[in-house]
Amino acid sequence: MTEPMEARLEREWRSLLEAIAAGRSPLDLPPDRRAAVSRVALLAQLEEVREEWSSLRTIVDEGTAARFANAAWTLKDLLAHLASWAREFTHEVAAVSRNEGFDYAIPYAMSVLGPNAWNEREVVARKERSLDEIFREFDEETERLQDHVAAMDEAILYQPAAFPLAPSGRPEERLFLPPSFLVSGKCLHDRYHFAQIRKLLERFGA
Amino acid sequence: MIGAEEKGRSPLENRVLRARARGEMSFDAAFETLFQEYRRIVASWLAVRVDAGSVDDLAQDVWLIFYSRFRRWEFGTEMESEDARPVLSFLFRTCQFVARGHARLTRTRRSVPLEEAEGKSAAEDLLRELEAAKALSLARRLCPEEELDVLLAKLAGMSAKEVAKTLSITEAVVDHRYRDALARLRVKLKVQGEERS
Repeated sequence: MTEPMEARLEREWRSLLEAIAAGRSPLDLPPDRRAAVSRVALLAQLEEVREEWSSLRTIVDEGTAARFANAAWTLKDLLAHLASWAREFTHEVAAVSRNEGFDYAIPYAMSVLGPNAWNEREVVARKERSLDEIFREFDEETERLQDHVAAMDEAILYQPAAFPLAPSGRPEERLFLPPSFLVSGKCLHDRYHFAQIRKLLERFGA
Repeated sequence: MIGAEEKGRSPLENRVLRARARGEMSFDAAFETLFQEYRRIVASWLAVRVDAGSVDDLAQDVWLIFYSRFRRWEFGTEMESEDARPVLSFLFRTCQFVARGHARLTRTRRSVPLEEAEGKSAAEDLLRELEAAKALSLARRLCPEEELDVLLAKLAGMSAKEVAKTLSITEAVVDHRYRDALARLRVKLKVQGEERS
């Protein structure tokens, strides 16, 4: 008598589990090597933010997007903020991969949280755009970033470079870090705002 | 099955998360317990999705991503549910993303001739041939990604409810995809059986 398919799959699955070797725990690595910045890990995290973004697309409509996320910005503005950074990060990583420098700075101003002036300007620049355009911009730019990460020279991806962000507020004091960490930071920034947006949507009953 | 639990007891993951949230367990101890609990499942999920030579490195990527995320883990209300396993769900999704990242990288590199890739192909072909009769290997080759996702999650002991929540689909769709995958495999294995006899 032939074995039922479910039983056969379970038996094979159990054999597979038993055949798996010990594996390496991140705790076996020195603390400074526990960052998830391998090329595949970066691509995976970018994949994750794209997936979350497309999931938000199915929930957010024009009505919800017009509601206020905080005292200054609507939800659409917040989405535009993410789209603007997707474009900026991709532009920066592309420039570094071509060994080009930057003739501008994005200084943090009046805030320790971020470059308010730049953020505001970019959101205003997207006021007339449709929700679809904003959603498309983020996704296309993030996909382009994935392409850069996949194709970039190993040495450039992990070698510190000067980026336009100037956290001290002084334009000459640029953020100096490897592009791999900038990409990881982009994902962290996206996830931070996604969590915020999820909470907002819950509050809006969307 | 490693993911299975004794009847009436909450999953080990749940107990670890609660202990961690109450400060009864250190970060390292909690992480290591979860690593030991799920490392075989993570590696097996990857083994069905990617080439054998990449499993170790990709599993490492999955665990490093979880490591950084677990530092900022939000102990949510799902922790209070007896059967919720947010860590397993997270690992499942991360395996999917890592496999996709790996595929993207492989596609990009295929345009550049790689000595390593050429040297490997014969051995890999042999391995593939040897495995051809196995249902799991067949699933990898025959099932669309969305069916394979459901199949692998269910094999690891995730309930239809957990799978549905993790993949943002309904339980009915989970059931449908699972049955489609089984049917697909049954047909193929039957044809192979007939060809052999």
